[in-house]
Amino acid sequence: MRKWLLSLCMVLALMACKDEKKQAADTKPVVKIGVSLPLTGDAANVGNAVKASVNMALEEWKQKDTKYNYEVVFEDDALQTAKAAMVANKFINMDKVKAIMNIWGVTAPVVADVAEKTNTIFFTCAGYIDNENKSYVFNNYTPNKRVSEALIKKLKKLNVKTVAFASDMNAVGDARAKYVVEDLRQAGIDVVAVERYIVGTVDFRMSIAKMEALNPDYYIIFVEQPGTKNFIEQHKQITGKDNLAAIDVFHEMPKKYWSAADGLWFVKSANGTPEFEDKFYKNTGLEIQSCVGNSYDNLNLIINAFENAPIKEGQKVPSNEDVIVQLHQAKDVDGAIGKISIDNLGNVDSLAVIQKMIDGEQVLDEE
Amino acid sequence: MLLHLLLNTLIVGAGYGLIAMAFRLMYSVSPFFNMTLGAVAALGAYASYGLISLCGLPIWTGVIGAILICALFSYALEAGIYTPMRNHGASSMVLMVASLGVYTIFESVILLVFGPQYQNLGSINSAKMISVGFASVPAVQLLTVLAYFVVFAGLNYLLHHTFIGLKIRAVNDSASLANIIGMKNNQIILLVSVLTGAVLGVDGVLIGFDTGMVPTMGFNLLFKGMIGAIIGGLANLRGAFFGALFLALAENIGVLIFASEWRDLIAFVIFITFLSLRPQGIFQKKGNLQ
Repeated sequence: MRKWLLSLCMVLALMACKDEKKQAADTKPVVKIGVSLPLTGDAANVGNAVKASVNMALEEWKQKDTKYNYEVVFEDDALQTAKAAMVANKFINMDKVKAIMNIWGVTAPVVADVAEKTNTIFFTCAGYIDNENKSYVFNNYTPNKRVSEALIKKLKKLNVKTVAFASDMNAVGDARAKYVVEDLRQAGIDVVAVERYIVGTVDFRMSIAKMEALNPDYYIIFVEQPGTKNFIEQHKQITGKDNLAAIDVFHEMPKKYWSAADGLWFVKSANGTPEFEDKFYKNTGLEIQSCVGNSYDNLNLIINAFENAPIKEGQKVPSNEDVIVQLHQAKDVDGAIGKISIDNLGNVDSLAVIQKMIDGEQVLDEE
Repeated sequence: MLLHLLLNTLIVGAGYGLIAMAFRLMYSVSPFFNMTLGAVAALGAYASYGLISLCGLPIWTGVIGAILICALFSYALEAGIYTPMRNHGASSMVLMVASLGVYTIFESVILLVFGPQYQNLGSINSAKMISVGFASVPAVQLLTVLAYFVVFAGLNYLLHHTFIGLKIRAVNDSASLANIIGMKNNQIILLVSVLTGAVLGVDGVLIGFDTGMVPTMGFNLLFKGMIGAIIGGLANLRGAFFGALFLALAENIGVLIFASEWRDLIAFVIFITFLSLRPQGIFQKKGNLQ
């Protein structure tokens, strides 16, 4: 009887402790982060993959003992600027978020303006964003200069003198066309043709025939899905050659189509190390897309900064001013995209690498 | 370059032409801008992908199955939605708005079932390249051209040398008169919807093998086909056939002279120009404007 009573007391005591701990967790101040993504429309596959990576990072934080409870609110911006602005305002005014995340340069500038005006931390993954005079805006996308460095090094090694450049007409394509083409020319590589396509174009035959008439040594493309596979096949169809390389887009095709690019190489912006890719696939069953690793890192950077930022008297959570100071101190942090550092402007620096497609797999060609 | 221009015009024009002929055929008995025609073409691509890639059916079984699914889907839409609406006196505008709604639902269902990712049946396509001297052409592109001519010849025969064709033309000429003389217009429209569905299914399947599919593909397909049909003139099938070729030629010349990004702009400038200056199209006399 005495043993039985003792056991009961112990169980009750344990339950009380557990409840107390749970209560403590529930009473932790909440930090809300809004994530605006294209969950519908043409870029929905990327948006949903990024959503999965953000959820993955959040789940990992939930397993840790943190100072604050973190809540992520997802909204669909369909990659439309008007919708993105509306979502950003909703995040700030209704959800009272401390930080906003999104992807890609189509919607990033409008959200950046809203975030800067309201002192809300904003992390994006955009090919280009003007954050020179913006303290709260951070961009985690391999800079164009890093892409150019890797590309020029490889082209010089192949003794390429002339190239034709073809890209999509979107914010990243515009940035690539502007900066990479300029860098190629400065490096003494003649860009004999620059062709641009409306996103969604699938017929490139005439354009390739036109470029082929100028006899370029190499074709460099930044043509996203659904164009990538079509461009590869139509290039082979028109030229009969394999002088085609890409910036990023080869590995952004669904994996089952990678064999279409067999034997071709591409410059890969950092969007996830092979280890992260494996982990992401195991956790979500999804293939890695543009900005997946970057967004995983962005959430980690934000939460990490909140955890380490000092709290002033009377505050429940650190002020955003203190959090951005923490963010700027991030140097050589291990992330899903490799070692990352944030510069004074708020740009996350990361390296581009050359990958080659062999037997439907991507392998590292050279650092 | 000229050979590339001609070849690509034929390949692209054939793709537009199949849609244009289907659009023209359906429009002849049910004159409203039916957005769901784009959905039926997209269904052709996705159904063939589902049957061949996901269910593992042999290619030809999958292709025929997909075309049948499209024909049935087109029939179901007509019988289940548009015919009852028409019987209740719905105007062309109301029918068009309804078709926009159906198209939106269809696109969402495709997104839910197959996901937003780009899909392609091209591993089969890229394996079979046929040399035409100055370039290699995937077999599927030559099949598209072949289908374009076969469908044109077949529909022409049906419309001008069969009793059913006579009935279709009668409804096209005057639906009310056809009704007065005892013809069952709704049955004719249902039959045409099956034919249209099959033609769109053929185009969708070929696109699935050639350039692949995304859930939003239907709208673009329909627009180019519709522009082709309007340029040629909606009075006869010949208009849709040549109008699509004309559109493809203009687009390709535009790419050659200007730049690739001008392609859609050129198509719409031509469209607006025709609507303003020659709304009856190339092959239709002025007095016969529909």
